[in-house]
Amino acid sequence: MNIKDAQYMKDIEGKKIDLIKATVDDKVWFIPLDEGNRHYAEIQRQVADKKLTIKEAD
Amino acid sequence: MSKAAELAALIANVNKGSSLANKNLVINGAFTVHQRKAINTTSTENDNYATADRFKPSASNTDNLAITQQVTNSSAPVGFENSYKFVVTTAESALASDELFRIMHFIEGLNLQHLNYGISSAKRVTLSFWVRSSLTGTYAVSIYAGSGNKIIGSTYTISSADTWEKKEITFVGDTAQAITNDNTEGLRLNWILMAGSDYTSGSNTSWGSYAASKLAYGHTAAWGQSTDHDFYLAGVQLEVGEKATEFEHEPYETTFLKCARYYFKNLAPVYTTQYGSNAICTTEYPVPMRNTPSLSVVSGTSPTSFAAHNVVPYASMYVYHASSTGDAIANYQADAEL
Repeated sequence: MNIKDAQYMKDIEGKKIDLIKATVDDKVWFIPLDEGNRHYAEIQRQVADKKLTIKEAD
Repeated sequence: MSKAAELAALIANVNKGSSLANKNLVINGAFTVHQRKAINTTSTENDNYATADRFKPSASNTDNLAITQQVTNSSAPVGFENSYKFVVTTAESALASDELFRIMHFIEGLNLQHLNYGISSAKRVTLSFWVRSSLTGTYAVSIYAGSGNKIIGSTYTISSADTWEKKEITFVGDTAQAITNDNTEGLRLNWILMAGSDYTSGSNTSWGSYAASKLAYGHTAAWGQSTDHDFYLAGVQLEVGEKATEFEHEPYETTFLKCARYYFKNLAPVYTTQYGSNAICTTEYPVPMRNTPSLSVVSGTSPTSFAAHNVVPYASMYVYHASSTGDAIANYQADAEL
C-alpha cells in the first residue's frame, strides 16, 4: 500500500482529532483512528517502520 | 456427478453440520459483484482490491511482474456468467526465492463459529472452485487462520491448458485453536500463482503454526514468468463437510449486500446542507459495515474533510467540508475490508 501526505484531521467542532487524511495508492482517503481499519493499521505499520510520518492537524 | 450422487453429498454434508442455504462461506464466489470496476474493465493493481468484490491479489517482493486483473464475462464455466481473470503483461524474468503472487479471500470470524474450531468436533470444510490457466502444473492453495497464526495447505493440478476444470479440496478442522468470535480475520484463503522457494519448503498438510515457508508448499507451476500466462477463477465455494456440493447461486442483491459490509460505492447523489461554516449530510450504509470504514470521494466536490461517526453498529455516516453553503458530493466509497 503506497501511502503519502498523511495528516491528522479534527472533528467538525474542531476540538479533537478523529481521522487521518492520506493519499493511498494515489487516492485521497479519510481514515478513522481504528486499529480494525486496514488503512489505519497499515499507517501504523509504516510509522513504526519510520517509512511514514503524520503531519499535525491544521 | 449424477443427481443421486449430488443428493448423497448434500445429505452427507448436512449430517456433518452444513446447511441447505447460506452454505457458502465465501462471499461473491460467482464474481457477480464488482463495484470497483465495470465488467471486462482491467486494473493494473497487483496488490489491492480493484475489480472483484472481496477478492484481493497480493504481490510480495516481485521486481518485474505486472498483471491485469478484471471480472470478465468473456469466459466462464457452464453455469456461471463471470470469472476473475489475471493476465501477465510483464513477466517475472527470474523468480527469486522471496517472490510471491497470490489471490486472497478473507472470511470474518463472526461467520465461522459453527466450524467449532478449537474443540474435538472441529468440522471439515471443502473448498471447490473452477479454474482455467494457460499454464498446466501443480498449484498450491492454503488456508491461514488469523486467530492462532496457523496454516494448512494442499495442492491441485491444472491438467489441460486453457480449459475450465473443477477442483475440490477438503481440509480437516483445527481442533487446537478456536477462531476468535469477532469482526477480525477468521480464515484467509490463498490461491498461489507464483512462489519462490522461501514459500514452498515447509510441509503444510496439517494445521500447524504459520511459517512463510508453508504458504505455497507443493507449488511448482512457474506462472508469471511469461506474458503468455493467464489465470481464471470462478464458482468458488467453501462449505462445511467432506463433499463439494453444487454451487449455491444467490440473488444478486443478496451477494451485493454481503459485499457491502466490506466495501460500498455509493452511486446515488449526496447533497449537503449548511451547518455553520460547514456543509454536512448524513447517509446510511445498506448494511452495517464490518468496522469503521475509510471514506473517499469517487467523483464530485472533494471535501476538505470527511468524517464518519457512529458507523458501527448504527450504519450511519456524517460527511462535511468547509463551505458557507451546501455543495453536492456526487459519490463516495467506504472501505472496511479485511
